[in-house]
Amino acid sequence: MKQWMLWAAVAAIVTVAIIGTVSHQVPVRPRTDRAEGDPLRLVSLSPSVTEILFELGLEENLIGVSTACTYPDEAADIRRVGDMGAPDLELVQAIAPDLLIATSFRDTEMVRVIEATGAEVLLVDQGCLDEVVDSIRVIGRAAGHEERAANYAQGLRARIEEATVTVPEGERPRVFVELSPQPLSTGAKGTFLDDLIVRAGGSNIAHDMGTPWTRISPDEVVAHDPEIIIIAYMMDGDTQQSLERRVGWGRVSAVRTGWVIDTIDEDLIMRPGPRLVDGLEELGDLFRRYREQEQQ
Amino acid sequence: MNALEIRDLTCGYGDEPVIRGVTLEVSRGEFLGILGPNGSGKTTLIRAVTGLLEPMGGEVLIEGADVRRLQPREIARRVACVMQDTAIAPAIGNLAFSVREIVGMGRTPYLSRTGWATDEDRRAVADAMQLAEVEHLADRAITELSGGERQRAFIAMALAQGCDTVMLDEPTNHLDIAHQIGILDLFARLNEREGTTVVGIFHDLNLAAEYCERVVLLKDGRLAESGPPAEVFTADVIRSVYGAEVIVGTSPSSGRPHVFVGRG
Amino acid sequence: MTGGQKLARGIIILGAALVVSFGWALIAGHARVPVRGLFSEQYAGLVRIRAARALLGIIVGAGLSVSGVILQGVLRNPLADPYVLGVSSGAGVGAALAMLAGLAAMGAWVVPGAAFIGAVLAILLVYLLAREGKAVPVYTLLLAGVIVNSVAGSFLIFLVHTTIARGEGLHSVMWWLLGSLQVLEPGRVIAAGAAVGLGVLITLFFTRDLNVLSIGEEPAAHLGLRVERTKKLLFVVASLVTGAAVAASGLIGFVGLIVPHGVRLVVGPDNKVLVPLSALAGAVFLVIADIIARTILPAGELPIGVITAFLGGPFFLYLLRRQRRGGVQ
Repeated sequence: MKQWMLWAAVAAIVTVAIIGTVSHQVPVRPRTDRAEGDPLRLVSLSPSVTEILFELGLEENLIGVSTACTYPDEAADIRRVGDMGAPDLELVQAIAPDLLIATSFRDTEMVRVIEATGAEVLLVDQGCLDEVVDSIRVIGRAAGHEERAANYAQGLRARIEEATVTVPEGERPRVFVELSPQPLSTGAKGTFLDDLIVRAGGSNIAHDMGTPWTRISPDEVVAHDPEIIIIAYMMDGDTQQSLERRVGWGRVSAVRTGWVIDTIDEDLIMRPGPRLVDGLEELGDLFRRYREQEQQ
Repeated sequence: MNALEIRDLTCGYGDEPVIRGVTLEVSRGEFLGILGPNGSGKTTLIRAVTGLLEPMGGEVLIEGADVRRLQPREIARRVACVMQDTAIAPAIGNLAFSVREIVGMGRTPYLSRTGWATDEDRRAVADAMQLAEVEHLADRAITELSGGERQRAFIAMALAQGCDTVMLDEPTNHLDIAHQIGILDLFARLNEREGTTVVGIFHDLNLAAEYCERVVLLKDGRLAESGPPAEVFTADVIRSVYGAEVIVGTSPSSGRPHVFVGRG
Repeated sequence: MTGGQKLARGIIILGAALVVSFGWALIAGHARVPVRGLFSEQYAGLVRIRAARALLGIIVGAGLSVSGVILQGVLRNPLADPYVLGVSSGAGVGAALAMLAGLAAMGAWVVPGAAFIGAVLAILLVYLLAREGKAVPVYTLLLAGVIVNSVAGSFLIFLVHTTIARGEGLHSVMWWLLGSLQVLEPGRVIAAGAAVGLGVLITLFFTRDLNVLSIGEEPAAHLGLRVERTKKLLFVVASLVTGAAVAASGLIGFVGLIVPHGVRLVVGPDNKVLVPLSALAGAVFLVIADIIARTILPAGELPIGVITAFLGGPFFLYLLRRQRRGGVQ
């Protein structure tokens, strides 16, 4: 190698670093500028929290969201401050929120670092459906809209009660929700997905898998012989394979009778937010239609 | 005091002795050849003398001092070695050490861990390069040299060690006849002018006969014969040590013995 | 120019570069910090975060570079590097085991200590696998490195997956595998700094030994070097330094290859000059690479291992070709 190649490489690295330095810089908002009665500045690191904040009418307060926050459409206009659970600590400091709400962190040490900058951190649990509804109250209380949140949660709870059906065990359709084809994965007991299936009158074949979000082997699925298979791929890259062409799946009830459903918006059953109730209602309709067809 | 004294030395690798009870004295200023069939323990003997191998029995004295009591650095100031082929670490492109730097490594036994070479060291390096006739190669990368040039550079390195005794392990093995003679002439000069003791392993009986005052023959790790070439190189001795039929004649120029191959 | 002059000049130039890049690292980032804001209370938090990162970059960059120089010297192989030879992965396995066993809370020394043990085992394994008699052939060594790397890598993935099932902090392990200078615990910087500082200091006392080893182990022994003892000690130093770097910042590859060869290109092969200057150049290199990692995306950061691999991969292939054509075995 010639020395000029070394210097060229050094120059290229330095140039890239300079370009990076001068682009995407956000001015730092001094915390000392804060006055009593200023609106609360919020950052959401999870799509479900973002949806809840919009539902509570707090979108004006929302100054930062994660890259995963795509609903509602207006969320696209808000500054992205990092990936879900992995905020850009610099951006968080620069925009100086009062409260940062998340469902998880990639590294729990981040919480300490963020709190050291003067922001409060609220971690909400959204495991099962009840926790999702409860989290609305918690978020509302923290954001100073306790009453509105309580009313909204109340309304959701009523809709949930409404949509929860009592079906004897024997009449429940066996349901498998496929979250990704490779590896094959689904949700078991302790997830809101399992909650939705059971409340809507179905029987989740993965209910007793042990771990909440879990992998499942194809032979387990075939052995449980699901009557309904719901395709709900979370990753954009996943495309539905033809289930009949999978080895051994041709004899699964759902595949034989054509009850492989991919028309449900996966966000409705996979995003732990207020729209889960919509998902619950859709699943209820689906299972009812299946039972009616069975009875004919 | 003798340059080297080897007393009833037994040593080898693991539990297996290669050298079995060798006793040998090398006086100062001697030019001694060590010969013997493959596997007879010649290289092992050098390793024992320079402290690389711990003796299993007997002892080795360098200028009267027991090798086991000397630090490796102290040994390296007394005895220098030239190996038959030094494998230099591979380097990318021309980023290898220069000949001057390699020769400078010969000063290692005199330098502290952190110190730089002094004027004295640089002088020793310059003298050694002059003696080994590699001054014109001083700034070339060692990896760029031919086999003969490279061997001369390593000889210069050994000379820079400033030792009174130099041990050679078949230093001309892979070289053509011109380089062989050139290098052995160099050591002969060194031996005559500076009084350096030279102990060399030879593969070639005729080269040994030409240059050595005395030769010793090793067989199966034992000293088989010792004496001036004219006494040792006889058809009977060669047969018993090497198991080969040869005819011994005389060189027309030096009068020293010359071994001819006797085809069976 | 004599070695001393080269060294003095190199220290001045690279020292200045280090000061400049450290200052630059304080200003660069997604949050705008003006130069005159560096000492004001308003930006103190940001400046502290960036200073800690830059400091870790200096430590890790210096450590990985010196580790590369040591491995290249002791193994007599210009393609040796802690990442290529699987030493980093070995350290990674050690560190990950300690983290997942929950030992990290016992003190800042536990994870680097476990990483050190992993690194020592990996070096030993690679060395023993590759050795043929007294020689360690260049390509066999690389192959042994590939094997150790892939075994350690699979084991790491296994660890990550078993923790996925338990729903534990796997994301941080995944992230850490790609390398990041993000500093969340100051204790780790101090532990890494102490270990790397000690390792580099020891190495400075063995630069002549590294030079002499380049002519082979037996010739080196004839020059008065205690070869076996020196090799063992330098392997331990390389493991210590690599382990500390990996424990603090994850798997950042190819630094030990890029930096020493870059420095050699300018100052030549003398380790007396090469070791200190590689430490400095490695520090500057990683601080600047981290500036790129933190600023190249509009939000969030790129794992710094991606950047070093992007540079180091092609460089490695280039060296491999040169080695085949021009090297002397």
